[in-house]
Amino acid sequence: MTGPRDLQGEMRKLLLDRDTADRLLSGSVAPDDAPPGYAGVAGLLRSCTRLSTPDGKRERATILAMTETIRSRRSASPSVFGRAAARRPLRLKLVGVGVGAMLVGTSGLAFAGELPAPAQRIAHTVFASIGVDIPTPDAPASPEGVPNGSEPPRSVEGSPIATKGDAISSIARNHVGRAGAHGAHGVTVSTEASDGHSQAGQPHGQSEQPHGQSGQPHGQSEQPHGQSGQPHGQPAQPHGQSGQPLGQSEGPHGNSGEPHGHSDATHPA
Amino acid sequence: MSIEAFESVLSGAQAGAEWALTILYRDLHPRVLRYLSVREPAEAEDLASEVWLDVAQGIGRFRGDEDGFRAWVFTIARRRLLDLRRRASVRRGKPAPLDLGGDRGTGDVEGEAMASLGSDEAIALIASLPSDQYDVVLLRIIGDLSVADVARILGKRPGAVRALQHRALKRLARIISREAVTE
Repeated sequence: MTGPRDLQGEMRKLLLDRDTADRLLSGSVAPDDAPPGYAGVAGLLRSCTRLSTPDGKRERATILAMTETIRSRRSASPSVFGRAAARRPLRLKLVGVGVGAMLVGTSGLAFAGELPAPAQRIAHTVFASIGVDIPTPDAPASPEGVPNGSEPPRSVEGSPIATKGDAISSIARNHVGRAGAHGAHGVTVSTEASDGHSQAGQPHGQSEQPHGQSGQPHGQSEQPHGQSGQPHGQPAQPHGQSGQPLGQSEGPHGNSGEPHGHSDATHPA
Repeated sequence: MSIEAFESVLSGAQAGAEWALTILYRDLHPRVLRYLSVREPAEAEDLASEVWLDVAQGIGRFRGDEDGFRAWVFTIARRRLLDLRRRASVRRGKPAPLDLGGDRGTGDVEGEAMASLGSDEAIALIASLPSDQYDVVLLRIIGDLSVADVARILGKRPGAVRALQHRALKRLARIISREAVTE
């Protein structure tokens, strides 16, 4: 029979701290080193850690099966990285389309002079470096040159030409288009015009724009259907006027009215 | 195994290299088999094979160190055990109470007697613990897993696992000393 004293002794004997419990369960405590009352537990747990050696035949079969499983999985389905790579072209396409759309939109706005001023300046610089002239943000709309009572000059597309840049752009487009049609060299018209030079030095010295002169520095034609007035092959005058004084267009088709004077081919012959 | 060695073995195994799989298998299989055989003696070998096939299927996604790998394998083993029981409604067949036999004293003599037990007999003695304590002791001692790993595998908090292992050790100490006294 166990008395209260024995029970107290047993309880005291079985005190176990956390670290010792951990060490016992890792099998690292020899029975001799175990706390009082736990020598048997230490021995018991140590004997549990003795493990049998694997069956060689079963080991071989299991490993072969594992090898086949892994290889078949690897060949059957793309890896996580493989799937990511497979998605990459689609992502690239989407990004490409996005960038392309952005470029087209930005270029359109730049040509229209609708970009915010700093962006427009940058666009102007960038496009100028490749020979394309687009309006600068500070190009003022001409208050002059618009015939009284008449509508402001319009581009071929019919939109009002509000700024010098618009006019330049419009001329450049129209002229280039015509040059292409007539086989003439009108490509530089816009650049010339933007510098205030006449394009009068065109090979055949004729303005291809029947109603007005492109490239007049101050851009006013007094001749209703003014020609550039340049003979065949004559060089352009320094400031490229076709002998026109600075002044406003008075003629019905003497348009431009732009500070740097560009005829707008509003009325093709 | 060093960290670098384990990493190279793991990447080899993930690529299906037989040598790497052999190293992992030889390192862990005896523990896995022991764990399964004390819980399901009749099915242990088959269950162990299924565990390794599960390992093969999932090893490509495994990320971690050696301890993590061991814990992962035992997680699979335990899941396999639970699946088997669910499927077959098999009752856990606790091994028969151990007949310790022989002369056993107390203190060091008792410890030596316990240490001289075969591992099957030792497991049988541990099997007399309540089920949750039994699980904890098996995973800690056979699986060589940390408290945190055992907690994850059993879905318990580490504090709860510590409490269970503490109670299990005390109970074992009482069982051993009682049996020693009665004999």
